[in-house]
Amino acid sequence: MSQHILRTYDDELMEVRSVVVRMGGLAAEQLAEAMQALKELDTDLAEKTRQGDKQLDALEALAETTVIGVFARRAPVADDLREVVSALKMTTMIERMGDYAKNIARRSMSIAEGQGVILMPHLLEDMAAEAHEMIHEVMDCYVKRAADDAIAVWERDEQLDNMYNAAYRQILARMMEAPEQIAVLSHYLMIAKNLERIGDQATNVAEQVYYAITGDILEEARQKRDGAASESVGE
Amino acid sequence: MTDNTRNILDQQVDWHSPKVRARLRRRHRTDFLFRAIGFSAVAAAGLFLVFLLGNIIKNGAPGFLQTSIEVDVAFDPSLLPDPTLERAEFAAAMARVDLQRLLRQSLLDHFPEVSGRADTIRLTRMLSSGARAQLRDILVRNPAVVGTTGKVWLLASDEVDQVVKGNVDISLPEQNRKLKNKELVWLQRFESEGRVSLSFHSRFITAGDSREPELVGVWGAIVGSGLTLLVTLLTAFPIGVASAIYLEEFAPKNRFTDIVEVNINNLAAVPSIVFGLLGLAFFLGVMGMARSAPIVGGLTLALLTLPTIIISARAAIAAVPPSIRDAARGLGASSMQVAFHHVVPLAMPGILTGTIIGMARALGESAPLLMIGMVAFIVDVPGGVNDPATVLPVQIFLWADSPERAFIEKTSAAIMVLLFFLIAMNGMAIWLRQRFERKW
Amino acid sequence: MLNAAIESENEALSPPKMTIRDVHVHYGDIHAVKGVTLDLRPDQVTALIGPSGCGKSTLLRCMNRMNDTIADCRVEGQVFLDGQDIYDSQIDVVQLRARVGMVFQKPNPFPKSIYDNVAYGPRIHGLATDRDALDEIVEASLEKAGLWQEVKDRLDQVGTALSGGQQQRLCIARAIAVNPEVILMDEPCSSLDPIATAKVEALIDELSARYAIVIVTHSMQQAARVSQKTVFFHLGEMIEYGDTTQMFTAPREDRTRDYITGRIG
Repeated sequence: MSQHILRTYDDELMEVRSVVVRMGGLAAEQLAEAMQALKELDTDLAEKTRQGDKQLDALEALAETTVIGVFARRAPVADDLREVVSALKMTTMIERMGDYAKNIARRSMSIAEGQGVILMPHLLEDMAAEAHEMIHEVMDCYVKRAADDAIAVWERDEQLDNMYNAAYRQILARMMEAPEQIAVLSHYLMIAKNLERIGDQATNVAEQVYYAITGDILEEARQKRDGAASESVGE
Repeated sequence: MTDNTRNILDQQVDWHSPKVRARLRRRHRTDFLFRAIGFSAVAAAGLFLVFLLGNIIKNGAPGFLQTSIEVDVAFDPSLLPDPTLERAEFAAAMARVDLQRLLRQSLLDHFPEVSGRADTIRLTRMLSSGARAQLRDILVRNPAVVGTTGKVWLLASDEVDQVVKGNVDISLPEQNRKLKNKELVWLQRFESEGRVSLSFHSRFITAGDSREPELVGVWGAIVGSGLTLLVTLLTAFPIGVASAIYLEEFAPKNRFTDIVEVNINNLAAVPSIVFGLLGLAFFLGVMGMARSAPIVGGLTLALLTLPTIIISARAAIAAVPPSIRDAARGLGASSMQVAFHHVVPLAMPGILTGTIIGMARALGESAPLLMIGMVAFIVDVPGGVNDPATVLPVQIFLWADSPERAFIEKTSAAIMVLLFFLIAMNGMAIWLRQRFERKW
Repeated sequence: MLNAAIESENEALSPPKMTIRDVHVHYGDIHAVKGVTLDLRPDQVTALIGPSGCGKSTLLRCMNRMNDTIADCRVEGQVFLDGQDIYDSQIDVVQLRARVGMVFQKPNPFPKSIYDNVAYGPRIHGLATDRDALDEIVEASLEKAGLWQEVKDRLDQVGTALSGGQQQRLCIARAIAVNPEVILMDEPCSSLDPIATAKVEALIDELSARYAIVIVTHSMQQAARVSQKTVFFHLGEMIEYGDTTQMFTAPREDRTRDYITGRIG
């Protein structure tokens, strides 16, 4: 994309964008660490993950001041407007992802402290991998300005939802089999829910990326596309 | 590529180095020098102006004054008509009276020692030839004075006048003076009796031209100038303003109007005598109008002033901001309405200023009028635009050419009158500009 | 493609006040406006934006034939006012300009009284039968222009003595005094301070309910603030036409985007 006549404007927009990208990377890392802590029931790592969330909060605050500065001084319009508005929303979403990761870490500590260690259901690891990949991909789209890829990320959420449903049923079944494990298993159930929420946030981020790049609402664009597809099928 | 330049610009400038200081001093010096030169130029111009005006006023002021001599006149009934006659008859009879004789008799009564024909003539010549007219006026106005003796202030001749004003060096040898020793003695006698006065001479303002310096007046020339300028104004102003409005507001911009424009500008630079030739050829030659008449002079001067009026009126019209035209046009005013409701009223002060300056130039012109015969010697004050007349600058030209010493001061005095009118006209132009100038 | 968009819009809305169909303007050899097609609705503000020399002012001046006075200006295509071609030889340009009023870049009140400024239009068009009617028109126009309260006690004061913003509102009052249907504004706020600008913009907003308003502006923010439709011109071409909100959040054309965001195009 061509440069602004005013170079400092470009610099500020780049700053906003880089903060978003750093937050995305950090959130993915937090998720990975939380999952590792859970898998290995490593309380130190879990604690480290919890602390890491503060960094995300700080970055979110930085993004906010930068964006407000751009509004106040540049009166952004068109893509610049969409860029900064999306960035502001995305940082909130990514910060939420970090919160979910922190949640997972906290639960892993509870599990580790509890009696009778029950190993993590396999499906959770798959879900985490899927969510991790979604974060990575959506940040990739953001950096590469690839609107179509954002749609792909958006669509992956369905897969994660299916995995969550499967995990939910599986954990529920294990609860019924072994009611004495309910306390621990309910932690796992919540973790599955957290992972599913992370996926949802990644989807939301994908919507924002799509809007920032194209100016269209992803849902509407998809409906239009689907409509066109079904029409062509009808012919 | 920019690295080198950037390095140069990054260097700190030492504003206190000797080099910089020297440069600054030099700059201040040139500043001062230029201001000094400019001031001297203005001062020199001012000095010239003061000298010129001072010289004219010094020479001209005495021109407004005139020496009179009080003479005891015996209105001898034997020489005069019967005062009981009807006023008209008395006046008619007065025309045949030899007043010179009456005057001579009165003077001889005053100087009983004077005898002989030559001395008598010398004595009477101390009074102006206009003295007879003065006596006639007194008698016609009041026939009852016949038979009495009265003290009457009579105009002195120009030679006496010059001596009284101190313009003639009486220490010169007698043969180099017009006024001989005898006459000086008589004059001293008059003076010692308090019979000589130097006072404001209203005749200079109210009379027409004359051969005698003490009898001349500028009124004829003022009226001639006035009539001529009236004709000029009535012709040049409407034609000039109409042309300017047409050229500026309506005329299409094409080759033809360009040529017209260039030619108008060239006309403004044509020597005025050429307009005189044109006037001579056309108004006198082709139209057969009267020579020396203000109407011809006015029309000729109108030709001369037209380019000035057109150019200044165009400038004034062009100076009306286009936004005013846009505003009027945007409201749906037609071209005529735009021009006459807005542009011309706003340009009027400028147009009038230009016109007055053009008129002032016309007032000062003499060359073209010489060509159409307004240089004639005309005693009567003109009564209309077809009467023979002269104008102020031509009058000045005529007097400057006259040999009598007394005409020097009359010339300067006439120049003062002309300058007064020019300054008044320019002052009016300035006043109009100040009064009607609009801000937008 | 643009034309198709406009025409499809036509079906949905009330009939346009002014329609511009494939208008080209030439100044001698210069092709200043290249085939513009545009509709102006009676209750909308349309903003024309674009870099200097893009032809937006030229197009504006086509709409009330102010270009007529420029010698080598040639207009092709059609401009309709209520379905009547204004370039038709039957149309009287004087009457046209009363119906399509204009407000200029620099406030240009006549150097006459405030009253005479507003009364001039009605006078030359004979809109008032007597003095009372004229008084009424003057008051109503000044009222509508939001100036009445400020000047009612000094109507005989000269219009040029008002402040810049008041002068511009006086010019607007003068334009609406002849009861126009369309008001063209050529950068009306470019010489005003922000407060005066805000007042004029508020006035434009109020007037938009009654008149079709076209405004040429160099201030993108102003276009965004006052208009419902925005047209972007570049080098005499109409690049984009659309809802102002859409234009300023998601312009369709790269050239529009580069211009409104201040990019090196």
